Amino acid sequence: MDRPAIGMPATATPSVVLRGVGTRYPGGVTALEPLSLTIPAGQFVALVGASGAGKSTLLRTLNGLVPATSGEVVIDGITLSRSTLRAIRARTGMIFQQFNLVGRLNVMTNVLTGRLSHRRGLASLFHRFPREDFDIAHEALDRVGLTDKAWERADRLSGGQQQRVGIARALAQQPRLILADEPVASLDPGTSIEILDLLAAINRRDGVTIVVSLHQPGYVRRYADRVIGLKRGALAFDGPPEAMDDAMLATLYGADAAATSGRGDVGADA
Amino acid sequence: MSVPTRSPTPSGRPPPALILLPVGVVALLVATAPLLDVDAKRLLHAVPALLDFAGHLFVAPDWAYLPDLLRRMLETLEMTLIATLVATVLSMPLAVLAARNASPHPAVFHAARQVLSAMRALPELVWALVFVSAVGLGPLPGILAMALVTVGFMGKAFAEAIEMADPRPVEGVRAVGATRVQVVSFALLPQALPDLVGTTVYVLDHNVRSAAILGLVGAGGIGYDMVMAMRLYEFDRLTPIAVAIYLVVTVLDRLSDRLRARVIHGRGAP
Repeated sequence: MDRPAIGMPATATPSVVLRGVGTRYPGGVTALEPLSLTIPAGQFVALVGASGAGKSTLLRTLNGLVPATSGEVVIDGITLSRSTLRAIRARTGMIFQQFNLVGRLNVMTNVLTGRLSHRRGLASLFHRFPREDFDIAHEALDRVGLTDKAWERADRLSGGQQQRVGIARALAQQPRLILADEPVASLDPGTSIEILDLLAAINRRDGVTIVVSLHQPGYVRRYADRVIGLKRGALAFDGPPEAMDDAMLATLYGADAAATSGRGDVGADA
Repeated sequence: MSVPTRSPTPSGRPPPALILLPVGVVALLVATAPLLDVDAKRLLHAVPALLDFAGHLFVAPDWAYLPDLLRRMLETLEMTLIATLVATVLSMPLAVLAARNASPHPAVFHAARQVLSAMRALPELVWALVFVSAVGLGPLPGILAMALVTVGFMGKAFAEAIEMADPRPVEGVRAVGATRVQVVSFALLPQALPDLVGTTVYVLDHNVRSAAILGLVGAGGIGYDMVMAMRLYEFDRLTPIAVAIYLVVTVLDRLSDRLRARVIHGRGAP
């Protein structure tokens, strides 16, 4: 497998650089302790940790959906700020556990929203797009195998199909980085594999950096180049998937979880 | 034989509010009835007078009046349509400003809400009086009065429909780097659409009835004829007027039900 090695050439601009990034919600609840890390371009990173450990918050600080209250987020060499926010989001795809599509709009329109950051004109407000954008959207739908569903309403599709529309929307952005927040937590094992295979292909073929939060150790071992573990909002682990042993799982999820999950999850190590 | 029952509360007794509320309402009504001069004897004495009035309604219509009636009724309908159309267009941007999840700033949100409630504060008839003295007699002051109150009502209803929107698609569209207005167009309005259509047809229905009484103050429509017919005891005109209003409201009601079903369930729904 021609998976890119961990650590790209030193000259390449890292995809993500965090310097002391922390998040404190109004009211004083700390969601994320200040942490620093670097993700080289082209890496497939799995974010693990118990529910509430800060995975979603960390992912959302990377595209500013949740503003970091301390530290600095640098994406592709650009520091995240009010003025760079839209430019960074334009090249950063995001995939969600609940897909976050607009259910009443058709699949094509949902995919075309991926082009919105490039189309600031009045026409876009009336859902009008140039031909070029339709070509990009068609290609994205082709990549996820949903060409025949282009004109169906998004909420008529199954969960797995909706998630593929979510991926097509991200692809239409022509992203350099894709953030995926528990993309398979609402899907059955077979569909989960399809979705993660798609992300892996996008990672290898297009060299897109992928940061995905996952709960199943089996999937993590199968897909990730690197594992970042969070516990109660703090960095608890950072290493290759092979180093993710029972002791480490026990630290992240509690002793019982490690004992029952062991090496394999249903369907994950097939 | 009845089985003993209990309420789903820790004590097994019904929640106190469920008992106190009806008791309180009845007590309040009994205490305040004398203020309004409501007494049973007066109501009983009114019955013969009402029957007498009802008897007068069953008369042969004044056929010579029918062309006039038709013209007045069309004028009434036209006033309704123009006022509702203008109000729908004007209330959209106000609604976006008055929706907590779409407004650019809390101060703008509060200001927009204030403007909308000021418009609703007085009924159409009072606004019509104001506009009659401003622009003179005829349908124009009626249209202005109806449009003003309708913007106030629709703006609030639209704003609430927008606030009900699922935040997840909104997050999905924000994440691609869309502007605030693009988020409104792609995530908020599509979700609010069924409510917008429902409110619009409801308002249309309400406005036909408003338009039917605006003639009372010389602001156009069938109302003037209706009031004159009542004052002059011309029951052979009053009855056709009432029947015509009834027919228009009924037909509109049927049409709006169909339109609403179509928008909510998609094309071709029963």
